[in-house]
Amino acid sequence: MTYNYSQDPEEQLPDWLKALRNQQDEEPVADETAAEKPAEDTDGSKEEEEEASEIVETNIPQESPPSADVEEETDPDWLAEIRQRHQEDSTADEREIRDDLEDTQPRLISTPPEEKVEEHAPSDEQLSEAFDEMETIESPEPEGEELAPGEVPSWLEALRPAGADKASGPASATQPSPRKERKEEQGPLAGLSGVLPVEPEITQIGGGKSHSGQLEISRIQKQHRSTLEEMIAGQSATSETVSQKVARPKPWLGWLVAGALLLASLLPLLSASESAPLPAANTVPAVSALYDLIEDLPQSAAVLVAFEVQASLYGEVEIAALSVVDHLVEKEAQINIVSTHPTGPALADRLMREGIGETESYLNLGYLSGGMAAIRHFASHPRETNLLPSLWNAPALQDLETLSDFDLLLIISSDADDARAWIEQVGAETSQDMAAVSSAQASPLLYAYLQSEPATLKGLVGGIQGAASYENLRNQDGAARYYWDSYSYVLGAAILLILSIGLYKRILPGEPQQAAQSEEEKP
Amino acid sequence: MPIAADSLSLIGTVVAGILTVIVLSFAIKDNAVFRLALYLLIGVSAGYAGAIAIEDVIFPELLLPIIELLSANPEINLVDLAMRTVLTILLLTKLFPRIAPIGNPATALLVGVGAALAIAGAVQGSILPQIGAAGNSFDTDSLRLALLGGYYVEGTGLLIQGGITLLATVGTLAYFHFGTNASDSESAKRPAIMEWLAWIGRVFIPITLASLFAAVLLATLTAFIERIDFLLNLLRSFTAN
Repeated sequence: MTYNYSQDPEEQLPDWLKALRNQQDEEPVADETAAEKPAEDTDGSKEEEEEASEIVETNIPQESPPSADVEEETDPDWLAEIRQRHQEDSTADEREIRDDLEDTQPRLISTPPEEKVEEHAPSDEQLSEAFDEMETIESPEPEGEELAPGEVPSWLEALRPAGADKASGPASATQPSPRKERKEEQGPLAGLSGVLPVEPEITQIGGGKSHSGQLEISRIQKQHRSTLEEMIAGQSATSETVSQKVARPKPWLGWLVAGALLLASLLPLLSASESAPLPAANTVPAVSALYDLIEDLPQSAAVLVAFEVQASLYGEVEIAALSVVDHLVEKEAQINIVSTHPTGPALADRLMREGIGETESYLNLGYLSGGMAAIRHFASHPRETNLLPSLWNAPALQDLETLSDFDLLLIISSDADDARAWIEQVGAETSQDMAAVSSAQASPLLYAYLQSEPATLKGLVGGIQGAASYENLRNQDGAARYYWDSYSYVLGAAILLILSIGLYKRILPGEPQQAAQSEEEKP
Repeated sequence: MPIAADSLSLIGTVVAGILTVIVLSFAIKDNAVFRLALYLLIGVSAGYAGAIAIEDVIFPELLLPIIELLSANPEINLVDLAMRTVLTILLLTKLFPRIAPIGNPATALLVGVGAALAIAGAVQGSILPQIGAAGNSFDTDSLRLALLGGYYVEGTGLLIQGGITLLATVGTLAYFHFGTNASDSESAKRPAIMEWLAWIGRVFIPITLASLFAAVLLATLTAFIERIDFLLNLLRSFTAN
């Protein structure tokens, strides 16, 4: 069959056939318009499908470029192995990222685009046409030609995150993966991204989640805090003070002090001079009060002596006690000695025998064990104590049942605490007159009991000075007078030494420090 | 062969002289011989105290009644002896760490009785009389007599003395007062009046401590002189013989 191209064949058809053709032509147009409508609805699905395909495509590992093969040929084996491992790790990372994307973007990934397409039910012909178009688009470009980079509008460029890789796709821009973006900066893997860190990220020091450091505390709590801070500051200041270097005394200084004191004490003793005047009588009221107490004692008065003297201070207390005890002996008093120190009875015996020269006029009751409790018990029930019971049958003690039966309680003490124990425990039980002979170091603390209200001590002789005053009252020279010159000269020498050495260290403050440093430097 | 008493006394005197020289050598420099003498003093004192405790306390108060009880002495108070024995055994358990807690009741009894006696004695014998003395800082009777008799200088002296005593007492007590009122400031401070009183107390406290130190120095110098005299007499006795 041949056609004449100059004549339209339609024109040769009969009228009925033309009408039928026209009718057929109109029906496909209506079908096509009905078929185009679902095609337009699937545009959105197609766009989503394209985006999902792009996401998947960006996450799908690309084949290593040819340059990598060249590098593998030039690199050593160990580096090639690391690179291969890196590629495997990056592949595993990408799988992991894909899984993450499936979790975080279920709408894009988990829903297959085919299902959405099926919802609109395109025809097979339309699908075939669409696949043809896709093949046309995805057909590889001829080699040697590169894709020209598209022009990104300024508003889109402004929306991109700072520092984002320009080559990264939209999925990586919207879903940044810190592990993938991490780039190794040091070592043989420098320049590689996605390398597993040497240390887990949890161990790295970094800025954590910031919390507010301010607590809601009350005003009282603030004051407590400030008080505690002041206390801590004081402690630190104390430690700084302790850490200061202290110079050791120089050897010649020890010789100087020892020689000066020895000469000052020895010369008056050798010469037996009595040039230093004794303290005037009645200048110390406490000494005068004790003198009056003893003077007012009746004939053969019972006197209880608490002998609380330590052996190390016996030499000083002996000088102070000799004149008072001698006064008691002169008054023919019945002296009864008791002590809460184990060495007390022996020292009392020495005082009476060697100092006074008496062996008959006193009674040594011995050691009273138990300290303060024993004193209290002795004050209330003297005969029930652990003292030797046979002594209570002596003629001097036969009529004595309580402590109030004694005419005087005399405390001879080298320590203020011992004297205070007697004052407190006995004073609470009886109103017996009490007086004391003490060491010079205990007398300042015992003066308070002389002036208390009511006065618990009626008289006090303290140290060699009190003894000298007491001897002056009695107009008799004794041990205090014998030692008074030496005492005066030694005291003067000590004052001069303290002043001169103090001035020496003030005038030359740097020398002791240098001496201390030089001693520390010695091995 | 028994040693004569005179020979024992002479030996003791010589040993005492040597030990005195050794102890005085500390004034020049610390040395090993001085420390040896120090250990000797401590050891002898502790041994002597132990011997006294055994002779005067343990034997007559505990062992002797037990011996008499074993010898069927009817005068022994069994309750008293049982208490002494039990308390002694409880205290002896303190020597062994494993059974030391058994001795806690005896220790508690000792500490409790001691504390009660100390507190009661301090209140009755020290604190109350001292408060009374502080309250009578101004000797009003003497002051009245002095003013009536025309002794105005003496009366002024009594006033000054009472004022100083009162200031020293109140100032010293204020120095050890650390109470503060609640305030908005960061650092809590005492009231201004308490600060002033504490400053006065800060003047008197060093004076008190200095007087105590001076008293200790006086006691030491006196003991030193007595020892020098002892050595001198020892030398004199040797030269005389």
